[in-house]
Amino acid sequence: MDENLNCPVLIMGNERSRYLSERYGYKEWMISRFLNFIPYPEKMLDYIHDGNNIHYYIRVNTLRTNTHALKRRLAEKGYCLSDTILKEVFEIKNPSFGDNKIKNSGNTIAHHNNNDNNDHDDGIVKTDNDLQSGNDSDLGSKQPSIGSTIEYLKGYYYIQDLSSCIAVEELEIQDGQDLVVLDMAAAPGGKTTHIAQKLNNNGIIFACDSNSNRLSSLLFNLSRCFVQNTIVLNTKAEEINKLELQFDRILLDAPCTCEGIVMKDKSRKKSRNLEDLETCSKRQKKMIESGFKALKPNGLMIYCTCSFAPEENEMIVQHLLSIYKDAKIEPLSYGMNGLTSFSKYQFSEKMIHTRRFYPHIHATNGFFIAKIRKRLE
Amino acid sequence: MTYRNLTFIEETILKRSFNTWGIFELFGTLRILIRELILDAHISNKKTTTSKLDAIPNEIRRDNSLRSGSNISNFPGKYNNDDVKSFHTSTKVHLNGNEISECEKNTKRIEVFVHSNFKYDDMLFKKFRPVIIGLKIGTIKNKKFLPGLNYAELVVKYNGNMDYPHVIINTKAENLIVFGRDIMGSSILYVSNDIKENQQVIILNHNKEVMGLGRTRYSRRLIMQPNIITIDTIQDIGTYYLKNENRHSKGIDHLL
Repeated sequence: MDENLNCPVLIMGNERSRYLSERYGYKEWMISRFLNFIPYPEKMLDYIHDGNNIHYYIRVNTLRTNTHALKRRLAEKGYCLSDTILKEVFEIKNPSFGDNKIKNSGNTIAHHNNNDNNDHDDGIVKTDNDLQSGNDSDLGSKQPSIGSTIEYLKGYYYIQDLSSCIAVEELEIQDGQDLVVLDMAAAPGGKTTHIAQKLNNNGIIFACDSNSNRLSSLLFNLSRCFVQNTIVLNTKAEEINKLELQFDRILLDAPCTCEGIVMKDKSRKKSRNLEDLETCSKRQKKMIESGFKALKPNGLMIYCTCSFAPEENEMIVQHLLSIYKDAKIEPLSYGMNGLTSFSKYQFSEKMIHTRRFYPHIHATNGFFIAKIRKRLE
Repeated sequence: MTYRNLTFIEETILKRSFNTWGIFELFGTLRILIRELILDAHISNKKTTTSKLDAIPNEIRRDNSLRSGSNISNFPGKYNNDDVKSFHTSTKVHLNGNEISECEKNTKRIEVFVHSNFKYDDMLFKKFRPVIIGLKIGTIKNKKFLPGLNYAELVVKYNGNMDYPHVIINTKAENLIVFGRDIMGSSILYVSNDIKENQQVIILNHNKEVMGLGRTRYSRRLIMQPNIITIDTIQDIGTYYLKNENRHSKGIDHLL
């Protein structure tokens, strides 16, 4: 343990932070910290405040269909898709197109939400009862939301933020490679299904989650996306090295305070406190250590969170670097440089190779990605 | 035992089914695993509940039973590791006490999974006590294989001749079937040859994509008659997602 990295770091507020916290409805300690490490913080707060700035992305599941066919089908249904930096990921410009049509029809609707961590999965569906009582003759003409189309149910795409997709992209999995991959906190399965499609159902994915309640969504999504190469384990990620397996790739999308998804979940402005940050940070240190121990020599680990907090990002990676001399940070293709210092702490100069994503700059969730290679002895 | 390989009888049953559905060649290319579960009871309403719930992983069914406030004596409020361990050896599912008939107690369920990786042996599966391995394709009951939706997907993908029992439905029915609605004769655009009464069929949309599995009420000659239900939906693609989501908010009793 690196005792020098104590957290969380509390930064004294001032008049500006008080004003901004009142204006945008955040806890003041969050704002005073944002002002210290987020580029153009007021612009970000303003951007988040405006509900029209939310971006929705879908990832085409190439295990089930191809991008051209899906683009054509969704276009026929009235959805506008635009390209992103990743070839299988598209931004949906009008995700609530179907919702409005259903709402306008005057029928009762039920809201289902499979939104956890950084994977957003939101849609409106009619219940079975509504259908029983509704006017059948109209149903053929009504358009479902992007989260309940036939194509979605068939597993042709997954609603997932671009930043999450970039994390998997950085795992350096060639198409159809025979690799042993570990997803340390797999539910609800967005990144697991993405890895499976990268592997083209070859190799093997060990998908772990310690929370049994979250496993149901993982199992549904694996089945929906026709993933055949997973072994789902109900195991604590911190204890993963007890399996005595070695992995070619490890994805650790660590449970975090989720500051980065505040745009999609406004409750995050107030729902977390400094103790939560400390709890998450401690757990993340254990998880990253456990994961790194289970990595094969020359293996690759992606550590990511949907949090802005350096205590959950750079400080965790720094903790690993200080313990394991064979851990090496590798550069990433997208995003802004990671922090090399925070408050009184100085991090490794290689920390600049980690990447941060901001809603107002990258049109994604707030996200952090670090790519860590285990050096050959 | 958590997961195991096929017995000789199970292999015969599955080979017969693969042959019936026109994908016999696929059998040798898949790693097929069996998970045996001992259920305390089945649900008595077989038409709409047992068959549809067959499509839902048991972990989730058990989760729903907890949420709905059903008999939870074996599952004290929340999962823990011990719960999961007991689940792997002998899962006991109590859904709604009123629905359980005595004669159906202690039913053995044999679930069939496919996994694309041949590397790992059974010892490893035992050691890890996995929740799920690969993709569930169906169940074996009374020496018969009951296909699930993922099996239907394999059939449609690998049987290019389309010589399996199937119907093609119109768009209106496609939108209704995902909520579990049965099929009206007037919604059927095409019926494959030699469809008999009470036969299991794959329900396809006009893009020839699997929408569900159904059981015919009539033979081919009468199946397209208007204004009556001619095919009962056994499973549909919404079973996996939409109904589960709704069930989470309402509890499984509502569904039953």
